[in-house]
Amino acid sequence: MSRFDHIMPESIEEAMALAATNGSRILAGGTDLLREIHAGSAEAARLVSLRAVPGLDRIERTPKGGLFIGARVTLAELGAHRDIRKEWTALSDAALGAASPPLRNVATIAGNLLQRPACEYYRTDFQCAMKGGIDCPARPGDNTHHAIFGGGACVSAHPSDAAAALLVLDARIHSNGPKGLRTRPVADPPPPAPPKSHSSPATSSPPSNCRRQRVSASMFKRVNARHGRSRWLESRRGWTSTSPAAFARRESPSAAWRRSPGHCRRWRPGFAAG
Amino acid sequence: MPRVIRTKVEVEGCWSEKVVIVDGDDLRSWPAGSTSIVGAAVPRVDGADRAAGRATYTQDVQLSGMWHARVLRSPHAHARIRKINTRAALESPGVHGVLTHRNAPKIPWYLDSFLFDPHLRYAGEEVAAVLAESEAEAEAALRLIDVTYDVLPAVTDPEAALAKGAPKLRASGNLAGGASGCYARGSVEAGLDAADLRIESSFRTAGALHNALETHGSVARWDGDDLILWDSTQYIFGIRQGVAEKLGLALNRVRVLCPYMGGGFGAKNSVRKYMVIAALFARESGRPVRAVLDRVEENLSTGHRHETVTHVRLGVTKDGHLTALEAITSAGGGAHAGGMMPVGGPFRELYACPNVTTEERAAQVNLGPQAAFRAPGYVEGTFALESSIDIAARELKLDPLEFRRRNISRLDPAMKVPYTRSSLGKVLDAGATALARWPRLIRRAGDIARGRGLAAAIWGVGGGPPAQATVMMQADGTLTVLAGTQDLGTGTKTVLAQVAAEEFGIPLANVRVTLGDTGVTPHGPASWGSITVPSMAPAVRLAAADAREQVEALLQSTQTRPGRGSRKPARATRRHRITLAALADLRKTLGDFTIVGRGSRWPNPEGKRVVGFAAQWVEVAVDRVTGEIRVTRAISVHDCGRVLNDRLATSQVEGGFIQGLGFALMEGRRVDPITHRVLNPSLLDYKVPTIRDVPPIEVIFLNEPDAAANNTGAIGIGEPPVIPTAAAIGNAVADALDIRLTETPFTPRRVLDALAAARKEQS
Repeated sequence: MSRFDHIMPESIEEAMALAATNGSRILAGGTDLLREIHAGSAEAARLVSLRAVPGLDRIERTPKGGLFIGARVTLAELGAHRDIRKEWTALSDAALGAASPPLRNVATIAGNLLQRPACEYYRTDFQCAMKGGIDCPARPGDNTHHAIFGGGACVSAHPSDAAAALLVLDARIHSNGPKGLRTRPVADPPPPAPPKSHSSPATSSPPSNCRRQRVSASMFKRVNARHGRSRWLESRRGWTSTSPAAFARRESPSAAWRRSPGHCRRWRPGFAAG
Repeated sequence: MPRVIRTKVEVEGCWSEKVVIVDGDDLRSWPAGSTSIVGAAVPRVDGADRAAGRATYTQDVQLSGMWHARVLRSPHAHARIRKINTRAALESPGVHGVLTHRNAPKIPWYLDSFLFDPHLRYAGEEVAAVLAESEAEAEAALRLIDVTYDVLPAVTDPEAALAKGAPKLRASGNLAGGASGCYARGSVEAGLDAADLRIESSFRTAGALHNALETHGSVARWDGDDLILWDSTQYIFGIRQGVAEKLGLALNRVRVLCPYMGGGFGAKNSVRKYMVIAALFARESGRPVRAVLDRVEENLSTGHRHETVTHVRLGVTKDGHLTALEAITSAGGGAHAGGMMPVGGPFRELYACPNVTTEERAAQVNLGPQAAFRAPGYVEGTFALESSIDIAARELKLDPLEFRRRNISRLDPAMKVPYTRSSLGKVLDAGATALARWPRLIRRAGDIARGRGLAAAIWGVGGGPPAQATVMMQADGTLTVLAGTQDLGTGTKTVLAQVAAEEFGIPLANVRVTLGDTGVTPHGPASWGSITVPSMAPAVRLAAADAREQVEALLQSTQTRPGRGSRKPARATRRHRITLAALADLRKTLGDFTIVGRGSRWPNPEGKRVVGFAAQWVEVAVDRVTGEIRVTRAISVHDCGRVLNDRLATSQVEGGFIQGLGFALMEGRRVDPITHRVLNPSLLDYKVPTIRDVPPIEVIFLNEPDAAANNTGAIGIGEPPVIPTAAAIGNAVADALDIRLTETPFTPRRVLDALAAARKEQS
């Protein structure tokens, strides 16, 4: 495991400037990034922690009846939030369906959407497209639990549980980066990853066709809405499993999700088990 | 006058003859209800130390000046090293040595391999080892070793490995041991002809990984010509023997220590390469050397439950009597298999059936070597047998419990000898009584279908000699028990303390057990095959009795001396003779002294087999839409003779059931079909049950001492609880949805596939 500096900026601007420097990675909960560094599949000279940046840990109602969720809100907080439990049940269920309590207490919603693939080939020492290799060993290999739609250089489905719920709830991502404020739906393809020169191939940008993998679905989860309420169901029984999900990449340290009023009342059969 | 007796000992389905030297008489088992410390659910004597982090496990051993060894492992499933260059690694900071096949002593390993061998037969096999001042430096140096491999074709599926034209691991062919293991009684063909119903079915089980909490590891230190080796092991004396052999040392020059241990489940039975690597590096460098494997290395190289394919034919009469059983099993034994685990065992032993054939053939495949894994073979075989029995019972519309009752054997059907007692009927009755208390089954609720299933199991649990123990009474009246065994985390230390305290007649707090140290204890057996209690506890009891008799003699002589005449002379029962006050008196008379009692396990009963029967009932809830199976409640009934400690025995049953549940529902080593490398060697991707998966488990013991088995009346309980679980869950799913799951793990996909197949068949 390599050494790194740990920096805690106290404003978004400062954090963005630090994050743009060479060898920097943004740190929120760290459940994915630190594991990657420990496993040697990611390297960072500097971790820019969002812990001291004010405002990123808030959940607020919008004037139109929607909800803003700060990037650093943890899955445990999402799951426990009264309004979310009542009106956006799919999201709280999905948040509570992820991992285990100790992990949910630190894992953040932004980090959850920006996870690296939960693919056995990626996590063992295969050279895969996401680690600087040429192709995807899962495509000809054991891909039982991988995406059946889309899939470019990588056929792994997105690992986020919450992403499925956010997708069905028509959440939008507000992000702040070098190019300014942006807003886009969760399901939209993200912009090209910002150029970063990391020594490790593991952290280099994925090939561009990877971005075409917008929505992927796997067998074991379905999201549905019943009686005007959303629900999230899972069945994973011990196998890495994935939700119908958006593929998202980190663009900036600040991101929030908003739900437009009325949208969650629609039944979305398109996202049932595929 | 010592006598020499020959006796037979069964371990995990294999029998061997042992010679025992005995003197005097064995004790009789305590009458039921006559004990106060034995049978009490006392907490673990070392529980607080373990929980508080004060217990020193092998991985916790820190010696001053200690260096670290790490191992470079083959990235290819089958390859030959063409070139290896270690210069850069040797020059890397903190590095003091690199061992490869070119400079390491040519120590024979496995069938025809060596400690370091240029022919690599699985991904994860040892290529080189680095010694460095820190683990991180050793790790970094591994990446600097430049190896050129000639990659060879590989095979990992057992049936494919035995097919014509398969890539060969050895010139002699892939069939382990060169022949199948065959067993036959009667004629299966005749039995099938006489049957009213014939069932043919095939079952597959996935490779399962042990994943004990503590990974494998050693710390080696040389004291002159003596090797001191801390090792996380199930068999300190076996490691002593193995390491002494590999290094050419005398047995009294090797001391193996394992005072605390974080589990093994069968993977820590034998000598391993990292032990010898640590010892070699330590001898060369003059430093203590630590070699501890990480979870991934562990799951690639230290063993697994082999994957199996079993083809079953079964014949039964209309009234539910078995007429024929046939099981043909292929298993993948890993790269260095010399044979296979007894998958046919349950077919041969569980039920009375006149015509039985079993064939077991293990293939050498390009995966890490197999190891025993909690009831090896019987877990896989019982899944096939008890699923087939359930198919037959359902076809005949017979109650599965009644079906099993009709096939209970009074004699051991394979050996044609009586059991010390035949308790399968009692086990089934006890379970049925508990089942009757369950609420009525609600079969359907929305997408959820519920069902219940039953499976039974047999396992040889008698233990036997050689097992020796010493009990020393110190001057202050406290006892030190020296037992050459080890406590895997099962509670051996606690149970042996209970036995010594009971027999000697002093409080449990006054007994201390020393185990896991070949330097100070007499020989004890491996902790495998559920034999630790039935082998060690009788030896400890005899040693305590020997010490007690010596003390009683002393008391008798001192208590009758002048001035003590008012005391009643020694007509009282044994229990009353030794009191703490009397022992304090003795100290005044004798000063500092040690009483040494010795005990040795007596032979097993002649012409009888000691078995532990078990049966489990489970209720499952299956989601017909997602295919998810949840086990919602369970009963586990066991005959383990006298229960020495209900709390510890219950924990064995719960642990076994949970491991069985993992085997049934989620555990399975997956292998990339192209490179033949393991895809899920870490706990991120190899899923074991968590507390969320565990239902309430009702644990029931018959708790009737098996007086014929040994002088404690206790027989083994470690393994039976894992044996029937997969079949019981599969049978419950069949009850819920009328589908048959024939391959573990029962993933949602397999459930959905089975449902789709059933729908197709109907339409």
